[in-house]
Amino acid sequence: MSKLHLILKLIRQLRSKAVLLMLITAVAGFAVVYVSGLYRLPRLYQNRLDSLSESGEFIYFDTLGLKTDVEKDISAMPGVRDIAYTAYIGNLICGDNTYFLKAVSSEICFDGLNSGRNVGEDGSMPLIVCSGSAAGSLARDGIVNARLVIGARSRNTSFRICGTVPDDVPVLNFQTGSNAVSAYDMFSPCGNDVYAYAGDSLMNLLRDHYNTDDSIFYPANGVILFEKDADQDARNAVTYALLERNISIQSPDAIEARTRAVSKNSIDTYSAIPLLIMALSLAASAALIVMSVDSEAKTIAVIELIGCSGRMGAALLICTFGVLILPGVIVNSILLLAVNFSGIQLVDNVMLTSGSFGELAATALVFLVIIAAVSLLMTRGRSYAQRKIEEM
Amino acid sequence: MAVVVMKKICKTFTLKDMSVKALDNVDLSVEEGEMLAITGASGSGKTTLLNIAGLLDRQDSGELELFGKTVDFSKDSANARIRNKRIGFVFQDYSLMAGENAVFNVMLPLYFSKIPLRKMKKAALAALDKVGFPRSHLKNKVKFLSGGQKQRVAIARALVNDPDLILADEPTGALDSESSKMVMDILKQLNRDGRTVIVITHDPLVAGECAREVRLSDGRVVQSRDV
Repeated sequence: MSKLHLILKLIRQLRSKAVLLMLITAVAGFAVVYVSGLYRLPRLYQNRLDSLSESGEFIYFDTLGLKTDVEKDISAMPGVRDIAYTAYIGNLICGDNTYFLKAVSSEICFDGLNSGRNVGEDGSMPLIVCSGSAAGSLARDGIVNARLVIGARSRNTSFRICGTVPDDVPVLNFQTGSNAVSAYDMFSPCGNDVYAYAGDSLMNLLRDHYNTDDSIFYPANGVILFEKDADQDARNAVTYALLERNISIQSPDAIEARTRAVSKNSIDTYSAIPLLIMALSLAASAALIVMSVDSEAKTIAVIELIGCSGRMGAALLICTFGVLILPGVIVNSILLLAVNFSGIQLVDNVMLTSGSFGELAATALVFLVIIAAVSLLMTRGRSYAQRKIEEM
Repeated sequence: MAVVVMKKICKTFTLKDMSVKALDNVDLSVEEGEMLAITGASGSGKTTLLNIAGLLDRQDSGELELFGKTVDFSKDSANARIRNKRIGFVFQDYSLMAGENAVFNVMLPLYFSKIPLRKMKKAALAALDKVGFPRSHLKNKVKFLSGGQKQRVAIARALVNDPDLILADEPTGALDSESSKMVMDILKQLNRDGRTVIVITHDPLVAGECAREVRLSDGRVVQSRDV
């Protein structure tokens, strides 16, 4: 009982720095996830490319210079099942790039250039949603205004219609991160009154093909998907048709190189400031944890002085150290959970939530434990006598 | 009976690339009820000697006997019990928990005994009374106390478990002359009550208050004389 009282007293001593520690460790944990996202991003691309190149059922092509009629020709060729446009890193945000935006509420209306076009009998409107440079290659003009109801919220939003693809499907271009996040929010199939479904879009076919629910796009401008029974002659014919029209066929290596370049450029352009802030918070967090553990170690040294054994001293230190980092880990986990729940997957084009929530929380926890354990070892490695000598 | 017996104690510290021989074949015997001053220049090994005598550090070679028994430094828990029950420490920097009040600091050694909290508090108050700590300051955090008051708290903590041996490392080093006198008066009173007291000091006046002075130089005992 008295030992419990002692532990409580020791913990109470930490309360003055508890809030600061909690905030900084929470941000630092988030930063770890963010930074690990930078690391994971190219690897994810690599995995996608590897799986695609192994299948050999795709041709990647560059959409620059692609004309509608050319695409119609290609899609009409034997063995071609469908054509999809993918983009670079920006499209990671979208679960699919072809949606039928269905007006399920009278509050939603479309006007402007595309109003009334291609709206089906059920009120759905086909759209291609993309962001970043891929959309730029299809740039046209036109604005669609929509009032969107998302759960209990509603907002007026203007989308720039930046192009059309076959069958006059308008393309919505989300150029900025915030719009892209909004786009994800709005077009997410979960819980929105305005919902989108992909019908038989190519990405669904790709997902079926790979038996995955992954929402990551393949990093090529365009992908031609062949029928399963398409023979080699049909594939070659498509290849020649693309080459005849001066449409470059990308090798997986070239796509990977370009993806990495785009990824690096994106990270360099957009991520410097958040990275700096997060690096600073990491450093501050590490310093604070080290200082706190060191300060606690001094307290434990006093307790050892008056009769506590080394083992019990270590146990007391571990208890207080747990109290130091646990609130930060809990807040960080809540933060990640909120990000996960809100559907935000991206901060400045860097993925935060490509791992599961558990993985991400564990990443942050492991980081904090490593810092604390190192500082613990540093402080426990010195005896009370050595401390005294160093202080002299 | 000798309370502390040191036989050929050696201790070397390695700091970075440098080795410092803190104690070099030290032989020392301190009798029960004695009040001993250990003096010497900075770096002469006084604090190292006290740390070893108080089981806070261990020698590289030689033998240490405490209360008639040879110390086995591998027995961490048993040595912790000796520190808790039979030795009281007083340091120049007080080594108190600055964020806690005087009563809690004095109660600390009792947390390692099976004593109810109520009795712990009572014992702490009695110890604080014994060193003349003002009751009006009992609830003040230690960091708000004067140096003399902090040292009174440290001495009260040292004697709350009624130890046989008091080890004081420069107990007056951070105090003004009035507070120094007060601290020495308390230590002398504790000695008169039958406790063995070892005081490390630079101050000849403090050494002069003790019955015997042992002088260290470069880790060796160079002089031992009755005062």
